[in-house]
Amino acid sequence: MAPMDEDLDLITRTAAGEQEAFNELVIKYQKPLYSLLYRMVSNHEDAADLLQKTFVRAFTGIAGFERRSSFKTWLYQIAINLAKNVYRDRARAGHIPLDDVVISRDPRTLETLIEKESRQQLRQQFAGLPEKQRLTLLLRVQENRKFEEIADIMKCSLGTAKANYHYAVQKLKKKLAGQ
Amino acid sequence: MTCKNDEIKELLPAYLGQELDFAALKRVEAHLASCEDCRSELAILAMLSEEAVPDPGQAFWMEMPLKVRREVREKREKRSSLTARFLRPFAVPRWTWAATAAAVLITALWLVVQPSPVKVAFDGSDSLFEETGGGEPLDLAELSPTQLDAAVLWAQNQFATETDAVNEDLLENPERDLSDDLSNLNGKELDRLYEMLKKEEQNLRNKGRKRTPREKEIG
Repeated sequence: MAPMDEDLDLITRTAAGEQEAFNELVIKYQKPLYSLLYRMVSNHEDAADLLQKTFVRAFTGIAGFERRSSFKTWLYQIAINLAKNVYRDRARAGHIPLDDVVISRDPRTLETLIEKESRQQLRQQFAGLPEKQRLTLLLRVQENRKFEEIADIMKCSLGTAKANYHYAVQKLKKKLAGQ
Repeated sequence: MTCKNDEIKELLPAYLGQELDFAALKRVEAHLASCEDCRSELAILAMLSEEAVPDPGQAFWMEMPLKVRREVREKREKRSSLTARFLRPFAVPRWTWAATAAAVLITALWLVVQPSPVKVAFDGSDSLFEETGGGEPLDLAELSPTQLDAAVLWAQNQFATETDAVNEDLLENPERDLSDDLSNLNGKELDRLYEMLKKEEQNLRNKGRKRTPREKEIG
């Protein structure tokens, strides 16, 4: 059975109250969704909470799933929308946490420090990108999604998805080169 | 210098993810050998893609379906208790919803087809019921579309409050099928529905008798 048909079968069985199908859907998508959410919010507590909320919203609103895109794309859309709220709340509070604050407590070689520092700078610049550009870059590079899929998830055209990716990379390059 | 080779730039994430076919791979590698801008872009992409996501552990993954199921159940229970609280002021036996919905149409037909002193006015006006001294039974086929519409409109007005309540209930439960509700009515409930309709007919007869000549003129 093709992955999409397999999902539709699981959704139908879930809607009919079959617990095993419900579990199967959660188990199938929890890891990729957690990875996406963790990369968006940078900490386990929020990522775990958002993961649960994503599934709850999907299963309570399964009637709203129009089956025009894949179930996976639909789940990504829900997860991204929920994570956006967390990210916006933090940005409003002026608090965008960056992990990896262990550098000062864990000095190793100079080379490691420099590498860690440039990674931290990259994270900082990445977190400061406009939302759509940051999400597009995350989906393309960290989640290995194709531009067509990104356009579906972000509900935009293929050209817009490519442009967002392009601008994001150019900004990161410029900012990192200027430091 | 900024490289303008968009084709190669678009291929860089796929190159990083080792998703390219042999020809594309060679093309990208040849370009990277001579383009510093694309090499630095690839380095940035590589750093981003290497950002590790910690594994929260087996217990976390195993618990997730259970947690989700529990929360979904809680949400559904909460939603149904809220609906129940909202509807409590209008609480009536379940069959009444079906009865009132059905009554809107049935009454219209009842009044039109039954032998009754209340008869449909054939003067083309909007008024439908007039006092008569013993009208002939009417057949639906005798009614013009305008008169039939007027009959339905009248019935809808008579039961406006009940119809609104039914519609609200249907919005809350879109999958609800009223024909199921009707089929659930027992003999006693059907008798009560019949009584309701008879009473409504009697009211209309009385109303018709009490109308003043002026009212009759207006219709």
